[in-house]
Amino acid sequence: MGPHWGWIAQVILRRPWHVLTGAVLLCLFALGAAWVGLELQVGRSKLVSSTERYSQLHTLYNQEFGDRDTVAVVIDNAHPGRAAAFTEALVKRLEDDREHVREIFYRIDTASLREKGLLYLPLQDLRRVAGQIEDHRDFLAELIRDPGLNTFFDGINRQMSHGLVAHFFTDFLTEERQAGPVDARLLMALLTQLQAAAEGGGPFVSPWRGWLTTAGGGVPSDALLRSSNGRFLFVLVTTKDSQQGFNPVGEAVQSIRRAVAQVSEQFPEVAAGVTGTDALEADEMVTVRGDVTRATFLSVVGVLLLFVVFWRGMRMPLFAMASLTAGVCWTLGFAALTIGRLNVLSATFVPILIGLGIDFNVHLLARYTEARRQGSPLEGALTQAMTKGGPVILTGALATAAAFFSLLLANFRGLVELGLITGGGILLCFGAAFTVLPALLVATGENGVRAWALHGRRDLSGVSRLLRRLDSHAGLVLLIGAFITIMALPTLARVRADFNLLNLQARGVESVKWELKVLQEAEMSSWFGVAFARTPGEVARKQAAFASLPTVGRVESVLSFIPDDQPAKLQVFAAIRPTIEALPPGFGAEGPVDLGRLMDTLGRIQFKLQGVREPALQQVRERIVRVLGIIGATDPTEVRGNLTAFQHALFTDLREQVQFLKRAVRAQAVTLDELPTALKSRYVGPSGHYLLKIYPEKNIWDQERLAAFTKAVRTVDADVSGDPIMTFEYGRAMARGYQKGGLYTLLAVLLISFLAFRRFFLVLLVITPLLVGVLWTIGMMVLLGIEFNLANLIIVPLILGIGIVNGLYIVGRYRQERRGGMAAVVNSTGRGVVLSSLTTMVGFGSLAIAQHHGVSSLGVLVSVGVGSVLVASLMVLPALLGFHARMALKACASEGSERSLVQAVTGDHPQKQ
Amino acid sequence: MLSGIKRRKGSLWMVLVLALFLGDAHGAAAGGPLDRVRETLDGARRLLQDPALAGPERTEARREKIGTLIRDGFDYRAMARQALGEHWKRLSTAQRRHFVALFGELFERSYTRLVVSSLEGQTITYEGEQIAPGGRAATVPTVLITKGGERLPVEYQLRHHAGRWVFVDVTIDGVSIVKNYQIEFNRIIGTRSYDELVRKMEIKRREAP
Repeated sequence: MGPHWGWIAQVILRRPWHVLTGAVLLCLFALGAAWVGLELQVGRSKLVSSTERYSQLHTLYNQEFGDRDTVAVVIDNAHPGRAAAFTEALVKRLEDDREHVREIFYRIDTASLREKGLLYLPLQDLRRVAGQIEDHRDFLAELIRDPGLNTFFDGINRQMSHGLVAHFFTDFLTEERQAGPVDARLLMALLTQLQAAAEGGGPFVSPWRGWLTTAGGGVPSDALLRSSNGRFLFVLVTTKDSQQGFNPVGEAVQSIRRAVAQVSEQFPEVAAGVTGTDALEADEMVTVRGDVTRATFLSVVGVLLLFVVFWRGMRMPLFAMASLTAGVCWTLGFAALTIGRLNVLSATFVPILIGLGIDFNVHLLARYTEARRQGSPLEGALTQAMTKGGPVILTGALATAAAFFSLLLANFRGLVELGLITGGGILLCFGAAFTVLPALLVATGENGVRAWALHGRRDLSGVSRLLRRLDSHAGLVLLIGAFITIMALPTLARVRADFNLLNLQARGVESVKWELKVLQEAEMSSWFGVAFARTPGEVARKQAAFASLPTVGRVESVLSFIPDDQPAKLQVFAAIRPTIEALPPGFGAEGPVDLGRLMDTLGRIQFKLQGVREPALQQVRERIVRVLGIIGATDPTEVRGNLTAFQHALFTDLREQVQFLKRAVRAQAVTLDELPTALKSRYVGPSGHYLLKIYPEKNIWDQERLAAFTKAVRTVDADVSGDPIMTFEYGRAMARGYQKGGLYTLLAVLLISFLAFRRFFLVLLVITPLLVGVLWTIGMMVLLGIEFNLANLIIVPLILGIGIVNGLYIVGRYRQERRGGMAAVVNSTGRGVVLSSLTTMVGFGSLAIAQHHGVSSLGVLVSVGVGSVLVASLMVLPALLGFHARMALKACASEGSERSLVQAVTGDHPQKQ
Repeated sequence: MLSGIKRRKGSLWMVLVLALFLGDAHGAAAGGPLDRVRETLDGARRLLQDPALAGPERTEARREKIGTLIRDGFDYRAMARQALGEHWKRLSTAQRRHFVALFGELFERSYTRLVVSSLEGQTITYEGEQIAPGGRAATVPTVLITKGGERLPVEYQLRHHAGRWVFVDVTIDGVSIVKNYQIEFNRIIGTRSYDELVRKMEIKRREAP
């Protein structure tokens, strides 16, 4: 390959400006191609192949039902009335935001179902309500005939007297269910309202709720979306599609957050937050963008500082950076022409290339400056650097590229595209390093180099001295290396992986905080699996089967809105209907409240409650004492007016309840056709697919639970899809991709090493720093508590690429230098390896400051990994080489043959100097 | 008072004869319904306040004394007959005797419990007496008043029998004890049987008071 390198060097030496112009033109072309043909695709779904079954099912789901409800505003329902008002106010604001909001879902329009509301009560509750009505029919009739507070409390008092007498005299006869005194809850609710009314204020809240029933029966009167335990209200927002930028939903999420903040000013006591898949993704993007911006600044400053320290000047670093920039630009063009898109994974090629692509420049410059230091003129030094350094650096570039190209064999689109772009980019960066960098050196003349060369004449800098010292204590170094490696071996089994995507997120981010809050306090997940059915019968079968799985919390389908046990409930209606229809047809006239009579009745009730032990009745008694105190202390005319107004509200409400009951018990069974269209369209697609949403029983962000959930739901229907399944498959495919990619990479670099050196022993030496460094890295991971996650798995090809390159450069140089060449290995190549590794460590290490846990763990892990491989490359490998060289020297000295020494060490014939 | 009642029992026939002749004059004479009620309630209150019967260890003795007072003042036979209503007519003499004894025992136990729990610490106001035409029945309305001033109306129904006023019902804030019995007895006999009612009463009697 020597003549080719020399020819390239000659072309550059003769026509540096032509080369630079060509490079710039190529950059412009590449940038133009990227501008026109490179599409940015966001979302994890873009990472998997569209030929995967789960991906196709996800597409079908999106086609049939749209990617709905991707942003969830969670409203704390600690103050129910205020939370409901907050919800209404927020929805009003969001409805005005046509730019970002496509659809809002926050209540189920139950108007058409209200008449059948009693069918939505659980059968047990319906029977209880029917029993209450039956037991208290006379009382109810009395209230209808003579509506008023006096009638109500007289009736209560009478029932309590009956209860008192029955308690003392005939309790032994009441083994069957008997009409007991009126529910303490009703009494308490009414007394609370009565007290508020006597004090002259307070909104009216129906005390009949839970006793008779509420108008609407089992359908909540406000029908707001709420968690199953009522802890939270939800406003689900579908944002408008936008393909602009890398975080298209970010603006919509921010707009929704602004609306929440504005409404929160009116309702400071109501806590609310924005979460959901889009919000989580948008927040992740924002966090990562901020992290990467800070890290990029830090890494650029750090790398420049390193270069300045190593090269004692600015020109060399700037040349290296210019060469790298050209390589990255060409890679953009390459990506545009080959794949035409970037996903969230393949977009990381830029920082990877900055970390790895700079190395070729570093090693070439190391060779060049070494030659210059030895007194060669620019022309000779450059030719020497390219011809001698070129083959080894190319082998390193091929090995690194192979590490990434191996990802092409991974069955995961995100990794395949990352592998192709980054692998190609590595080769293009190598190309830039051997064209742009030398051309810049030639075009700018010697001035920049001379200064460095003068400094470089001091030769043995701190790094070099250290390396030489290590080389002189090879035995000890090997002993220490072996000890550390043996200590690290047991940690292989202890390294852990955490594929919980929520754990990757930055702590304290609003979407994560509210997602966790809902998970913990409402014990429900915003994630759901998706299954399809073609008929209502199939829906029912699948729903029952999914619901019976222990990992499944609940299953939603269109049938969820059809009441259970309808035949049994209709029988209850038939039984109670005569009683309800026998109630007086119309309400009598209300008279003013007789205060004296009311106080007397309340006093009697209070008397009968003396000594009761039941807490609810004790509270009733205390409340009566308070009410009597308030009535007694207030102006009678005023309190009578207040109570009469309250009485009117109370009996207007009762009238509505009774009218509702009369209609409700004549209702027929609810059918699918009766469901509101807006509701039905969420569960029945335009082409007739019925949708089942399968909610997990527990938090399935945890990978093990997610795997158990996925496995379980697939026992019912192999074609289950949805975000949890996508995430499971995505995580699994990615992990497998890295595993397979890692294996192929290892095989590829072994092959390349073998092709380069053709000696098994040398190949073994090449991979030694890699194997030892990986072992040490795993040991450090266990020591520092670092776990593998979906963000830092990228270390697998990275570490393989970097590890093998270090070995290649050092062994390659060793092979070139023959006897006594360890000094050159250490001084020149060692320095290059140190600098290139340090630039990678600084580049990725800067990510350690990231708030996003995934990004920061990537930074820490790559730094640890590259650091471990670097130490192994500088300690273990030179020691092994030196040790072996001395052994070989001894053996050959006895034979007196230099030729046999070289052959013993390198397997090659000695080259001409 | 008790010794006086016993003396009158001894001259039962004389009282009956006199009653036949004197008619209303008997009902309105000294020892009328109001006095009878006051005498009984005062007697009960005295027992409740008697230091010799105070304390948990004397509960049984106190109950026994109050029970005796109730037994003496209430006409169990009349109450039992009324509580059974129409069913009474279908019973044999032996059944009636057995039922009255059973009813009396259970009523006595229950009423003792009521007196002990409701009379202690309350004051009673007597609101006169209403004697029915014929002088053989009377109602004595009273009001129980707590220290806090809460009032509970209690009416006593009495009838003049064998020369004296005896209690036949008590109405607590509009609810008659005998009527309550009647409803429950009627329900059990209607849905089950008279024997079932008696069986339940027997079980109750065997329980500790």
